[in-house]
Amino acid sequence: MEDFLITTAKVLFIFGLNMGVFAPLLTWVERKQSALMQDRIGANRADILGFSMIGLFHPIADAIKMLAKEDFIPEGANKIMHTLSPIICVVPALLTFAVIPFGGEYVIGGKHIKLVIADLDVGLIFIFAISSLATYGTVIAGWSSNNNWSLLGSLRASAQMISYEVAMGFTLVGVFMVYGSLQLTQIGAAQESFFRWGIFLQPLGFFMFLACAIAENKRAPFDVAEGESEIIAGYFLEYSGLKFGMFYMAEFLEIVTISAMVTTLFFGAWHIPFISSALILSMLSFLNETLANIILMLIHISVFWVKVIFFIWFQMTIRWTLPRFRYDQIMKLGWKILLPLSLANILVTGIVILILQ
Amino acid sequence: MIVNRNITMTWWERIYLPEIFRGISVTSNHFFRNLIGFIPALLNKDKKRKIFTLYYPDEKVEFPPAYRGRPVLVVDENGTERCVACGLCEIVCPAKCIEIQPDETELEKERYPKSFSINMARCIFCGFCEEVCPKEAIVMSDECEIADLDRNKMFYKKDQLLISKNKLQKRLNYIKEIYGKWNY
Amino acid sequence: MPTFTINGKEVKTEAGKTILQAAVANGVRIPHFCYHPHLSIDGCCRMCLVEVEKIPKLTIACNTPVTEGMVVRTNTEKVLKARKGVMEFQLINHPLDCPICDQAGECKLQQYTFEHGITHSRFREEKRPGRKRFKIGPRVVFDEERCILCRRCVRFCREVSKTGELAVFSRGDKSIINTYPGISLDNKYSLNTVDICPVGALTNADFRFQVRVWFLEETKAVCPGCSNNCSIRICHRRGKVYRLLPRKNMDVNKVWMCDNGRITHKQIETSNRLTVPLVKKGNKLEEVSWNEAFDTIAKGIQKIKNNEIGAIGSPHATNEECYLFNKLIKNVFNIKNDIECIVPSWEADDLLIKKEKAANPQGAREFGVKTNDTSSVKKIIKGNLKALYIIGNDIIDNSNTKQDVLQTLSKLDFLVVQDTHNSDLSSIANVVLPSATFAEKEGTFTNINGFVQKTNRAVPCPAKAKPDLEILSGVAKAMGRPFETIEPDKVMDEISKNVKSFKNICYEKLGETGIKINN
Ligand code: SF4
Ligand code: SF4
Ligand code: SF4
Ligand code: SF4
Ligand code: FES
Repeated sequence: MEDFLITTAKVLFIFGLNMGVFAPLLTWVERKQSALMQDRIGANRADILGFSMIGLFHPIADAIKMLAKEDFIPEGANKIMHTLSPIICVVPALLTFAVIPFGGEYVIGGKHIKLVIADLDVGLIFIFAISSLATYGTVIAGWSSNNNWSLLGSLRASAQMISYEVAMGFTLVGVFMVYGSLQLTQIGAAQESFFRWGIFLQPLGFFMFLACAIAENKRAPFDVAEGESEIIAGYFLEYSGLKFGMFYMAEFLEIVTISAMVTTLFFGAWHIPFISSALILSMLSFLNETLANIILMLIHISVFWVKVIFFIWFQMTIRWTLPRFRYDQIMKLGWKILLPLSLANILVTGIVILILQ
Repeated sequence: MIVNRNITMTWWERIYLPEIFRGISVTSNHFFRNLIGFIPALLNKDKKRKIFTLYYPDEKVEFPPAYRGRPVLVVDENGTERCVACGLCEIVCPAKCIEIQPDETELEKERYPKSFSINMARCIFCGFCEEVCPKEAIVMSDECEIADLDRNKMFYKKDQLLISKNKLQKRLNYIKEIYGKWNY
Repeated sequence: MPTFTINGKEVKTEAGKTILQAAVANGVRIPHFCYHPHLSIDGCCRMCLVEVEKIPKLTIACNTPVTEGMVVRTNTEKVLKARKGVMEFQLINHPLDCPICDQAGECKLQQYTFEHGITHSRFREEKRPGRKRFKIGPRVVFDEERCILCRRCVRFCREVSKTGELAVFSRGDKSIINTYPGISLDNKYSLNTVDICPVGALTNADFRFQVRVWFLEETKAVCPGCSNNCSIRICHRRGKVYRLLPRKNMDVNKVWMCDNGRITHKQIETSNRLTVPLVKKGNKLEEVSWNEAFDTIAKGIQKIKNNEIGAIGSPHATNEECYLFNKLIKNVFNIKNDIECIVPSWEADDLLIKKEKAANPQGAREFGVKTNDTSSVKKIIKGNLKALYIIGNDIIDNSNTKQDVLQTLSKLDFLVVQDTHNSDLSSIANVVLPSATFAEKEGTFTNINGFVQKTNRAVPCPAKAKPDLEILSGVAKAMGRPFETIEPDKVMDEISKNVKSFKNICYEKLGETGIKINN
């Protein structure tokens, strides 16, 4: 019973944070950040009783608008698939969070609590498996819309996502080899010491993973699947209202997921550089164990999310800095550069590990 | 179509990664500068923001004389329009939005537009009418807020087009200067 | 046939031609102001200077006859420089009036300034002032400042209209065009001076400031003013006719037309145009649909015995309309009586104006219609008539007999009037059919000398009015015997099969100036 409650609490926390805070807020962040980067002001017109709150009400306005819009299904479209595909896009983005730890292991009231919803042994494989499902969402969306541009968009999207999945898988092989585990809690725990962070052990892996992940998410500079100037909006061209909003939500959730993964795999998960959990606990030794652990937990949770937020910011910066690649460039990058490099990375990592043994 | 721009990149640029970081540093530089510069304006402390974009309907720019707003007819000191209904603007207008009915007048100019209308829903603000006018009678003003929900209201009649010369002096000087250079 | 060289090309030309005429015949353009092919040669503007080998100075092309072996150059540097000089002189006293000048767009001075002139004036003195907006005649407005003294207008009045009102007065730079004291430029052809004036010095008071010439579309047509049938161009824009201009037709009107013909377009847009079919119900004429009007006619005609029905045709109708009207009366109504028509007349002269003041009395006669002058109206409508089908209202033209005629007609059981304008006649009719004026229909006219010319539709009919051909076929259809065709060209084919004098006529052969019927 207790376990059930704790798990429920964790699920609610992740779900609430993602759907209630990140998804809506990121639409605002995206506009505001791009505005600041381009010396503009950005969204600021939506107001309540004259208070515009630097545009913070825009997500609310957006939500109302999307709910109020006509839910348009084009003539000749496959209605079931057309309705299903946004859901297929959103669910994987949320599901991946099940295996990502947002804190370590704490002893509270004598119980060992791990801050992860499902501590799978094969966490990374689970992530790959789930996130590949999103491809179906885009393909079905494009195909079921009965529109040439949508179909083109979904073809581009599927080709791109499948290509980068290969490279992404290989880049992470290096990480398993170094930490010797597929379990994300263990990978996170292994990075307690600053110089054991993934970025130091797998620097190349980090960049390649980030590139692949952004490509997986189909955001600029890899957004040929939407390519407004060529194929209007690509696979979600025929969507409106809430369904359209869900594609956007999926995109933003995936940003959060990617950031969380980067944090967990390469940036020391919930650890603070040079300050180990033991150090904090010893500083809090005047409190009883449970209280000290709770404080430690809170510190770790916030550290984790601060890192995540940093990477969200970083991804947004990339999105508003780099121009879109051409399609052939994307394919070339994926197959000719990232794939060989990631294989080489595995080789080098293997050799180094052998030497060190 | 493949356009060969003959750009040769150095080895450093070809790695691409450093260049990405260079780009990111430029944009994030702007980001932080504006983020900090934004705060005084947010608190209404300082009217001079670092961001130069205006809060449009609340704040307005004064346009430079080169700005082309809606075309208007110049009214001279004696209170009549300068236009003699020569029809040149009507024929040159690429959007075909000007309509003039000429007639005879007792004034010295002999000819005047009995009616003069511009369909502002069609006007593309090209300024050809101004350039072709032999009397400097039609000029581009700096008014640009002409949107309307009713197409019929976009037919500007002569009385809506007449604007006194004093208000247009800046533009009149400007066109004299730039079109004076051509010397057809 | 002298052979000469012009701009390096060796060409043959007729004896006695001047260089300018020969050049035009061979497609070489020489700018000129005072030369006009239908007036005598004056040689006063000096615009047509060309270089001729063995002649030391430049010479004017308009008045130098071509001789065997002459070598002419029209575009050497010397010639171009001379033209520039002439243009500069022409422009010395010329005002900067183009924006208000009605000639702009068809002005020779404007054109040549564009082609040969300089863009800056070197003239620092005051320009010569002159009379502006001077009514030199009832229909012509004169602007002295714009006149370049080419004397075309003077020569026209002396040579063509033979009235000689105009002359050049004073000398040197004080020379001006004026009428002789006490008279004004009011001959019947005065508006031709406006046409031939190369600049905007003479303008048409009627057309002044109405519309810019570059907006006008031109439709080739025939003047309906009198039975001379001058070839004209209808200048119109957006369904409104602005002016009529003569069109070159050496067999009929050369390049002239009379002032009266030029105002025939006024009838098109008047407030008393008939625009909808009317049928008398009770004592009032009420608007009805075309079909109802046709049915009313069919019923009315069928009630009355054949020999009690009369028909009065129109001398203004086209050949095709005359033919179909004939067909309607003779074949459809089965009436044996002759079709009569009344032709208004006026005073003829020996230039263009003919006695019969209607477009097509000759054509009507070719189709067996009896033409009478207005004095014989009473004779026509006497007798046992109970029904009458009238096209046009010439029957009440003569004011002496008008009241009588109206009274007689109002006693008829059934009166059909097919007309363009509201009149006392249409107000007593049982059925009124609104028809088209000359600018609103297509067809052919036969002039008094037998030239058949094509006239074209320039503007649409007002409201519900229809061209006469359609009306006639509507009536025939309501009577149960529709015509095979009402396309004007097909009707003409039918005419040439059935009417002997029209045997050689078909639309392809007519061209722009028409051909003569053989009688
Ligand atoms: S060009 Fe100038 S003068 Fe001519 S009609 Fe237009 S506004 Fe009037
Ligand atoms: S600005 Fe251009 S489009 Fe507008 S009225 Fe003038 S000529 Fe026409
Ligand atoms: S006569 Fe010709 S050149 Fe002179 S003002 Fe008129 S249009 Fe211009
Ligand atoms: S009024 Fe016209 S035609 Fe007559 S002399 Fe002058 S320019 Fe020539
Ligand atoms: S045309 Fe020859 S002198 Fe005028």
